[in-house]
Amino acid sequence: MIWLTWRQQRFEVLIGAAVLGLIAAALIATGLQMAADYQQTGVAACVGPHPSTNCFTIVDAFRNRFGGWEGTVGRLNFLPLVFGLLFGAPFVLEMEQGTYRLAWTQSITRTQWVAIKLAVILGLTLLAAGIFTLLMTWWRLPFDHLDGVFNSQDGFDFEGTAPLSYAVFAVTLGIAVGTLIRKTVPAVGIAVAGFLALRLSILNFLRPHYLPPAHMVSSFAGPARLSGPGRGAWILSSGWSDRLGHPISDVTVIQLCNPASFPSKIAVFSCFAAHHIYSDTVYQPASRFWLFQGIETGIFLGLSALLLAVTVWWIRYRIT
Amino acid sequence: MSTALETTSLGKRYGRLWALRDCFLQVPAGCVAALVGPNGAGKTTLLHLAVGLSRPTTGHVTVFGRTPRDGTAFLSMVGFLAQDHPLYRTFTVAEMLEMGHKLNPRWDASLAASRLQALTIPLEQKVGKLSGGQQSQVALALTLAKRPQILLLDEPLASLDPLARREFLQMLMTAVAEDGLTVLLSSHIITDLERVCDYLVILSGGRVQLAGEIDEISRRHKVLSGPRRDEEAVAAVHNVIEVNHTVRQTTLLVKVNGQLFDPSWDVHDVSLEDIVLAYLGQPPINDLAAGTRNHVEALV
Repeated sequence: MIWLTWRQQRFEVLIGAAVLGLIAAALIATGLQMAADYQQTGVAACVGPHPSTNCFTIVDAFRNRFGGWEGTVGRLNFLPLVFGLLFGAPFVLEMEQGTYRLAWTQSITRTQWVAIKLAVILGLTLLAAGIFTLLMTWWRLPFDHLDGVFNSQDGFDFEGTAPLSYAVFAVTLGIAVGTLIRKTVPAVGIAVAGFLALRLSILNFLRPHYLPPAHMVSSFAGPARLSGPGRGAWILSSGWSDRLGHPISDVTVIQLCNPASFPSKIAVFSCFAAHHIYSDTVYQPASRFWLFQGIETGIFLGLSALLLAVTVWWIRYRIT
Repeated sequence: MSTALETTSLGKRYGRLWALRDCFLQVPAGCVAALVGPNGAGKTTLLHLAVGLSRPTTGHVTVFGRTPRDGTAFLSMVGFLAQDHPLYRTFTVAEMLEMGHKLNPRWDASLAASRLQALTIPLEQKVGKLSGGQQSQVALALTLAKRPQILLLDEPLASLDPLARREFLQMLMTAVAEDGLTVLLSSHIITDLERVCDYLVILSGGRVQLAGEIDEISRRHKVLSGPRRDEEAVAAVHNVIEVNHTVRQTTLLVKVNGQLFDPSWDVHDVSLEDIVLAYLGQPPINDLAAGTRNHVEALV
């Protein structure tokens, strides 16, 4: 049965390997260059405990050079979805073409059939997504050191366990829909739409609130304003508030202390201090990164388990 | 004679529609049984239930005493050829045989290979590139090499040309003679099957209209013809299947119970094809109320 599954998946595995190979080649080539630049131009030293005075220029130059690459590579966000659909497609095709009837009338029960098939498909998906995640984690090292892995959305989407769970969710969604409707093209369409809808709504609406965010209210009087929410925290928003954290609107702030009417930044800050205007930063501390990864992975794996259960039940009891 | 396939009160409902209902069958071991009926009669449903592809709504089915719930032990005993004989189109013929080898404990590799060789079907050819007839031969070779005790074939002749049909039926006869295989094959025509089958099941409207050994069926069905009259007197003793009145003459196709005593009828033998057509021509009994015309009777 493992042989049969492998034989049916062979073509898709080759495509997946080719895609992964091309992306790996591009990532390794650019990643090596970036890592070398990171060391040679002194960005690495700037991230360390004793940054030199010209660090601002050095880091800025690095960002100018490689920020575009980060954006481009960030578009690979859809890759776990692609792996999932690619490896799930032969299963759905078999349901559409009715060849499962051939398999189910050999000397193997459909429960054994579905268990082995799903195990192989999930294994392949995890392998591909795992390799991709490792590559991305290595590639993004400079940016993670500079910005913190939590504070950039890409860090969260490409690293840790979350991307593996995205791929697993994509493949189980495709297979479940395909098993229910037994049409490959509509199943892929529904899976893509469902995946994007869930992934984007979790990203934008749910992830920032897995735990209530922390607030940092800091005064503009004295040196305290230099302290932030800590290195690597995920800044959700920053604005104005009174000392107790009640928000103050931009309009009010400009009415009270219009930056245009002050000679210097320091004068503006004194005005803020005089009117008891504080800066309010809403953030998730860096220490919560793995907890949030765990929650997000749990959501996607939980849904995947549900989809797998539906698939297996449907195959055992509903398909003739 | 032992029973190969037995169904008890077997029924399958899709939504509100019964595809098969109240099906009682006992197909004897070692026979070639024809399952005949028009499209939509429930032939495929019956075969799918028998091989465990679908689950019965009512009743149950056993094959040599085992049910589809017995899993591998059941499946290894039953050879099934689906109507559209699905195959993995991207596989080569050799790879299809490899699949059979991997998934069946009693796989007979030499049987499959020699059969395909005899038909000059190249093993390295992709299945999708074969002709329809060749594909059904590959599917059949797979089914036979599994070494089942019973073969369930859904419309196996439909995709074959007349020559291939004859070869196929000869092969079937050989397999039955050599291995004591039991065969149940469905068809919407009886003509081709008459020479090879010794058991007949007529299915219509989801119900078994007639089941029995063909010799017995032929012996018990007669055409009576005589001067025009009412058929009531005959129907009191025998089962009247078909009635034809012309201006002067009445012709009846009856299933005879016991002896025919009335000498005013001319009694003729009737071909199997005509018997089948007579059963299919009459409105199928679809509910219990119509059971008064009690010709659903297994002639075991």
